[in-house]
Amino acid sequence: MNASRDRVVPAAVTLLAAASSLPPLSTLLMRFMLTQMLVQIPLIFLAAASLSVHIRLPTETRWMQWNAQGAPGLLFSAIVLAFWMTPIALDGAAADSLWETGKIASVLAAGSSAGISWRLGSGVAHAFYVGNMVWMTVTAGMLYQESTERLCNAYLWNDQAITGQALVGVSIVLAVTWVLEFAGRNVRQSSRTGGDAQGADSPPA
Amino acid sequence: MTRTLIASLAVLMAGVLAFAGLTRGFTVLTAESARRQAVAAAPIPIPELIGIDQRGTRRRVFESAERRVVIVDFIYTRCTSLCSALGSSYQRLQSAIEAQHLEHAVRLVTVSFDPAHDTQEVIHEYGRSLGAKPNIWTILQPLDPEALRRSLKVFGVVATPAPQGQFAHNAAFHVIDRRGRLARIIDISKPDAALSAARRLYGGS
Repeated sequence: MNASRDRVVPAAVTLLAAASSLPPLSTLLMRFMLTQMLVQIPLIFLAAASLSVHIRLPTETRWMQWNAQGAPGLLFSAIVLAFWMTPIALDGAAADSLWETGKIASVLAAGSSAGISWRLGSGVAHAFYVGNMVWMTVTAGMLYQESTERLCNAYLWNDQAITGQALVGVSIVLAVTWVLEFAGRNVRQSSRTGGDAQGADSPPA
Repeated sequence: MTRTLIASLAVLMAGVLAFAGLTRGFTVLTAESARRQAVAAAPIPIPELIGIDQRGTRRRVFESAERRVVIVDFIYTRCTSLCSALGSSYQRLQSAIEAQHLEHAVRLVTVSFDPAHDTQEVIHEYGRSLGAKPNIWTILQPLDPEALRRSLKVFGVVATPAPQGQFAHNAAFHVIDRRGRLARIIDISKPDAALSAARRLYGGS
């Protein structure tokens, strides 16, 4: 059941990401700042990330020496995502197809890099990455929410303000989800080790 | 570990370079400010734009025979926000030009980017209500939509149709030098700076 779900979800995300990168859906998504930032870019990123966790590089051990804890890989991913949160880059992608192609390619690379590197990283690396992403997204969201000027020539002020609120909302959800998931994993882990020490029959305290 | 450190530093440096390139050395965050910097550094020739002014006369945005410096803005007459502010600024600029006897040196031009609605009658009435003096301040209904589109692109004006016959658009004082080149783009909150720039450009060429 889980195994088939593990395949279905990435496949669905990949299909959606492919559709959102090509006309006519890409044209529609690029018309609004909200859909460019919170639908198209995340879909492309998630598709690449969910596919790459299944990739087993044959030379992974050698690669690991250059990517211990997934640090450079996660750093690369964070930098690319930060790049595509700036108004000047979003405007570029909306106005110029070359920029748009560059965006899709770099977000694919960022997603793959995050997917591969996440696996290599410990809790500390994950916390650093998630914390960084949340901080970046909240900052961008506040900038877009607070600005009384239109920051992108391609997008309306209303769209910008709503995108700002949505970015802050999404980062809070992201942070809470990760903390819950992290805490849940630790609880499961400690109860397993506790269980081993006390014997399988002991009831939980 | 050393390899990971090298890889991380390389990623970080590439990121810094990418951001520096994007933001013109960390000085701009929006496409609009990047454009203003670029124009000031290297003025760009503007395409010819012919229209009918408030008196019903054919005029160009830049009249090469006059060799006056021109301050241009783009508006639509139904606008109730940005364009009204621009209208008031242009009234003040017109008074300043008269007071400083700069009629021979500086000309004001207001171009409608909504010529379908802003017909001759509308333009005439608009000019009358603002007290525009045709020898100083020309209000234009462009004749050729394609030429208007080309001009908007060169001037960096984006006008996006919004509900109820409105447009979301950016606005600025565009200063054209005596050789017909877009030489300065100045924020709409600084009409005095636009006039100073125009005086300097007149004196300097």
